[in-house]
Amino acid sequence: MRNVYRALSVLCVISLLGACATGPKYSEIKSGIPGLKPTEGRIFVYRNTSMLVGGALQPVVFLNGLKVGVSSPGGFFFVDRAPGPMEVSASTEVEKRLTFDLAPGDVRYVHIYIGMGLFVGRAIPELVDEAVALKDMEGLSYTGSQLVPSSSPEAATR
Amino acid sequence: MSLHLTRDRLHTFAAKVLLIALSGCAMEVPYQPTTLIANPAGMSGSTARTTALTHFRLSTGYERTIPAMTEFVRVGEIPAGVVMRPISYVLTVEGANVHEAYAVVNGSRLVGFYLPFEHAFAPLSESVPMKFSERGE
Repeated sequence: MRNVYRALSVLCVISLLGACATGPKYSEIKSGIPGLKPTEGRIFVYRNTSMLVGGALQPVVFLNGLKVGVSSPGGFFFVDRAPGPMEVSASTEVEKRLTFDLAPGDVRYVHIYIGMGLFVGRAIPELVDEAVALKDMEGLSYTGSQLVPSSSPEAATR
Repeated sequence: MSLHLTRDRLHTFAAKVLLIALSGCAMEVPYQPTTLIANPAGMSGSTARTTALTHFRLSTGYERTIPAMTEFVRVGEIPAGVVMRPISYVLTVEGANVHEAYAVVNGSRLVGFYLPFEHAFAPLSESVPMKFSERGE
């Protein structure tokens, strides 16, 4: 019986670790992130690595109703958008929306954290100060598609 | 007898489940539509810093303290007061959802919040003191 518990524990750990974001760290790529067009604003979306609550949850993140990425533990991505009203939500048991206004040249930071739900965790987006976000993101992995690695064929044709 | 006992247990269980479910459903921040009259074109808003902590509590139960020396810029007016947007500081109000908020000040008191996404005013049920030191335009 003890072996069964041990095997289950190992499986749980493996599945949680598998949920973690992989990719280049923010600290490694921040100097390569392209500058923002003056007519647009930028929204970073990130999630800390905490595995205590909802570690296996990977909710889809929506911006004004359109899918812009997936929120993985320890991951971040960003999108550039024309200025205007923004609504961020993530697909979990209960949907909590974050609304804000994006001005030209603005860089906003959305932290997704997992709160306790009735049956599973629920993703809650919150707007955070730049200083807090930059510190949080330092060790997080890039999970977006805006940056193309310099070794890829797509980058070589640029 | 045992049937009654089972039914009672089921009712108790259902009540507990309902209670847990309801506790997860926060109340929405109450707000009403309003029109922001922006600063006149070509005129940048005056900036000001808070001189003390400003603590507020919404009817949703959400509480927050705005630190002293937080810088705001005047972005316009609504009927309830002057609308001040924080600079380098994120101010949000929270209920069932999270809303970016600008302070609405009337006579050195924080009377509520302008919600830029919703173009709405979310009043505080009790205004609180909010003092600024003006820094000019």
